[in-house]
Formats: sequence, structure tokens, C-alpha cells
Amino acid sequence: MHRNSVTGKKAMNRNRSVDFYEGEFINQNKDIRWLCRTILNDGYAPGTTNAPEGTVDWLNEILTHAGFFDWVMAGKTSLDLTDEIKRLRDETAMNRKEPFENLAVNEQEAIKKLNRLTMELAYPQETPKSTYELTALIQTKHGSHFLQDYQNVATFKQDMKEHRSDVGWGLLIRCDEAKVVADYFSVLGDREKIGLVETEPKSASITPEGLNPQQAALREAAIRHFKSNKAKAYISVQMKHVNASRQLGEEITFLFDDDGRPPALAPLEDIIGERQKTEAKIKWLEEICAELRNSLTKIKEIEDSALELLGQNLGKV
Amino acid sequence: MAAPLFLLAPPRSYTSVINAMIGQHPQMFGLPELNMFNVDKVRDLWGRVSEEIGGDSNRRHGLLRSVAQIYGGEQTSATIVMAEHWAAARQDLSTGDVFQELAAKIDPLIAVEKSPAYTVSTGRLMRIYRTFPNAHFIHLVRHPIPQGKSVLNLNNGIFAYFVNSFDFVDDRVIVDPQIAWHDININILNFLYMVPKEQQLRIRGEEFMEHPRRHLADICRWLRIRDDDKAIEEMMHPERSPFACFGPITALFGNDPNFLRGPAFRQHKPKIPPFDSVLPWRDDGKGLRPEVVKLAQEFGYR
Repeated sequence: MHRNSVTGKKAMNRNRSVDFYEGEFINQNKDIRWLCRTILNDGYAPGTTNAPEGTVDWLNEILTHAGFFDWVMAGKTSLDLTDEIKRLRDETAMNRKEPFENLAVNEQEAIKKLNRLTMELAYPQETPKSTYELTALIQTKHGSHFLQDYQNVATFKQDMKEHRSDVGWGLLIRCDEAKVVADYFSVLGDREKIGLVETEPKSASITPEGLNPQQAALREAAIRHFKSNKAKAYISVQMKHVNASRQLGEEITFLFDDDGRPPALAPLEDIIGERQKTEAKIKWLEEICAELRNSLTKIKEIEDSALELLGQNLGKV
Repeated sequence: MAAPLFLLAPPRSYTSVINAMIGQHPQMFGLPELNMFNVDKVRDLWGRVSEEIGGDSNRRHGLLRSVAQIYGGEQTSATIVMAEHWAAARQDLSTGDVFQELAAKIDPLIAVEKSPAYTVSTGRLMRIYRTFPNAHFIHLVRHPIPQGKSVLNLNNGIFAYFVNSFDFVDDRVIVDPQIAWHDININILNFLYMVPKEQQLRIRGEEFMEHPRRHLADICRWLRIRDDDKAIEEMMHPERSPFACFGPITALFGNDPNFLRGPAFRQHKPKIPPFDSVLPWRDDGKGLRPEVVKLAQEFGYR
């Protein structure tokens, strides 16, 4: 089979930079001015900007602000950072202390990407999701391999199905995260599902492929509602425990038989022993943590001094 | 070494009790939920699935209890520690290799296992088949309405959220377990497409509950193991399994807690609701989707 026989189209005209552009607001039913206004209403003070407020250029200027990430973190402490944001946060930690214009292009891009992803996380209703490329690695039944771009999971699946007799397998990869988002094996049956997304989410915090922005927001709201209910129930139980610690037993009564005896394989001696062992381990860990904190403080002092000296020496040069 | 038997079904489909019953056959060995084929390497069982899904350590309890029982002859805190070391020594091996090692250890008994988590992904199911191309598979089905109710009653319906069982209606979302019922069964059917017909069997759970001896005898003949009265009688007592109870304090679970608390089999005739019933979990009066009804009919529900 030749590559051209697979009809996947090159993905939409993607902006490889993380900069905002008007088209993505239109495609994803978002409003540029609404996003700008929301950020300002939250108290962000951008200082003097070159671009007028309420424009894509203004937003792109915000992306270059080294302090934007820390400002969001200070105001939205409960944000559940993605692995990508955590990685960028650590990667840019030093560079965010430097003037943006002094940084190399790749360092600037990293800060812009951090701010863009942070904006998407902090303002999911208002911010369009970054576009990314979907590329499939396909093996033909003759054993050869090739790459093919797709617009979305649906077109990938449709294409694979249409070429079932030629394709051995295909893996659809989200290029920005290097993650497989869909797969196809021609040895398997191809009966259709009715769910809009796969039954196996890698993580509930990642919006699965296959949903439009509104559906993704609804899904996220449902999961948040579920989690908040769980948290409320947990807190409610904890409050009861505070009031009467003996009620703790009620939560685990299913472990005990009708006479209140623990399971035969988990005798009381074992439970007490395990408790003592766990307490001892916690003490050990607390001591280790205290030691590590001390070490960290010392290392930071040394690091700061070294950087300060380095800066002074560079200044002399 | 005889290839194991795997029960494939969405959660809440009588898998715990039926797995334990089959495992009580004198030539079989019923394992708890090992969850091994969820991941590639043994060490991945010790990693978090995600930041969102809790209770990760519970999914290891089945493996730890199995190793403790098979190698230590008992399940105690001490043998669970031994099992942890046993697993740590194999952390870089594939889960398939380690499962094979367990199956070889209990040979000539035939392992039977069910971990409903296998069925959420054809990738996980393919791991089983790559490891055991001669394995037998029982596709266990249950009517979508009672199964959906049961899913939502368990831990506030967390499973439905986990597998994205959402129906989007205008400007709202409804958690609808019939979607998961359909798509997980489709996962199983798509997987079984590649498995030779003689290695697969489909059973309606409700009929098993009503006529257990008949179905157990059918299973024995299909697996070519003893189907005499004595063997069947043994299978009627899942509570005699060493895993049909809570484990030691460091590995309590390995199965549905409700089953662990009351593992005895109770023969009964489950009620099967009509297809046009209003779904109790929907507030818009809607019923089963046509695709769900069609699949249930294909499974023999009327």
C-alpha cells in the first residue's frame, strides 16, 4: 500500500507557535475580549502594554510576561497542574527571573508556552485550546511503515476502517505530548462504539480526543461536581470523627463480622503491629524530610552565592 | 502448562462469584483480581494510574495475596511482605512473563482470573492474548439496566466517570452507564474477533444464577475437565476459596468488598426488566438506546 492511498488530510493550518490567533477563537466559539476582560477582572496588572486591550496582540504580549504564571498560581492555589505545565514551570524557573528580551528564542518560547497552558487551565471557558498535530504511524500488511497526518481521531478511524485490507495497525500520536491517543489493529473486530470518547482515559484530568469544546467543558464540570461531592462527603465524615472518634469504626464495619471480630486473616495483633510499624515509618520519613530540607537550604544558599559571584564576574568581563 | 481461563465482562456482571465458583473445581485455581494486564511491566503496578484516580494500592492486593498463598501457603502480614519482595525482584519483567510464572507454579491446576479493568481497552485484552494464545475466554454478560444501576450504586458511580460514560444533551451532560455497558462489550467483541471460536464462550449471568449446575457442567465440558457431581458440588462453594475473604491488613482486598464479605453463592432468578423501561438514572424519561437494545438482543435478552 502506498502512502497516498490513505486519504488523511494534512491537519488544519496550524500555528506552530503558542501565540494566539483569531481563527482559533472563532473555531472554538471563544471571545477574545471576554478572555482579556476576565484576566483583568481577576486583578492582573499587565503594566504598560504596546497592544490595545481586548486584542490578540494584547494576549500575546501577556504570554511574554515572566510573572504571569506566578500571579495565576498565587490567585488560584487549587489548580491541578498538568505534567506539561509542571515540566515547563521547572524548566523556566531561572529564566523567569530574567528580562524576557534577554532570553534565547527557545527560552522565550518555553515561557510563552507555560503562560499559554496556564491560561488554558485557569480560564478553560474563555481560552481556546492550543492546536496540535496528530500524526499516525501506520504499518501495512506487507510490513512497511509510514507516517500520515490527520485532523482528528474520527478521520483516523474512518481511514483505517476504509483501508482495513491494507493496514496492519496504526497508532495516532498527539505530537506535542508524544502520546498515543488512538490505535487501530486490523486483526480486531471493527464494531462501532456509541461513546464519544475511548473507554480508557489515560488520566481523567486530560480532555479525551473526540469532544468539542462545549462537551469537554461539560465533561469537566461533571467530573468536578463528582469530585466535590466526594470531598464534601469526606469532610462530612471527618467532621463526625472529630466530634466522636469512635464513629471511625462505622466506616469500616464491613470488614468485621456480626460479632465485631476482625477478618480471620487480619487478627487484631496484626492490625496493632501494622499501626506501630507505620507510625515508626512515618517518624523515619519525617526525620529524613527534615534532613533533606536542611540540605536543600544549604544547597540553595551555595547555589545563590555561586550565581551571584558568577554574575559579578560576568559584569567585570 | 494449561492456558488460563479469563472471564471478560464489564464490572457488576457477577464476575466475582462465578470466577470463584469455577476456581473451586478440583482441576482449577481461582485467582483474585490480579490487574496485571492493565500495564506492561510489573513495576507499573506500583505507579499511579493518574492523579485523579485513587485507590491505586488496592489493585495490587490480588497479586500480593496470590503470591502469598501460592508461595507461602498462607496469607499473613509476613507472607504479604514476602510477596512484595517477590514482586520487587520481578519489577522489570513484563506482566505477561510474571503471570506465566504464576500459572506454571500452580500447574497442573488451571488458573482462572477476572479483572474487569482489562475490558476497558482492547490493548489490555491483547496483552492477555499475546501472553496466552491458547487461553480460554468466557464473555459474561448481564442485562444493561440492572448492570447500570449496580454501577451507579458502587462508590457514587465512579466507574462511569472513569470510562467517560457521558451522554451530551443540548447544554448538559448526563452520566449514563448504558454507554459503558455497550462500549465495553464492544471492546470484548472486537477483541474476541481475533480469538478462535473454540476458545470462547458467552454466558448470560442471570441464567447462570438461575441454573448454576447446568452452566458449570457446560463450562467443564468446554474446558475438558471433570464434570462429575463431586466436581460440580465443589464449584457450588465459592466461599471455600482462600481468596473469598478479606486478606491480611496489608492486602485486604483483591476483589469486590461485597463479595469478600459474603462470598457464598445464592441461587436465584434475577429479574430482567423490559427493554422499554424508563432508565432510573435519567431524569429525562429516556430509555435504552437502539444500539444498546440491539446488542442486548444479540446476547439473547428479550
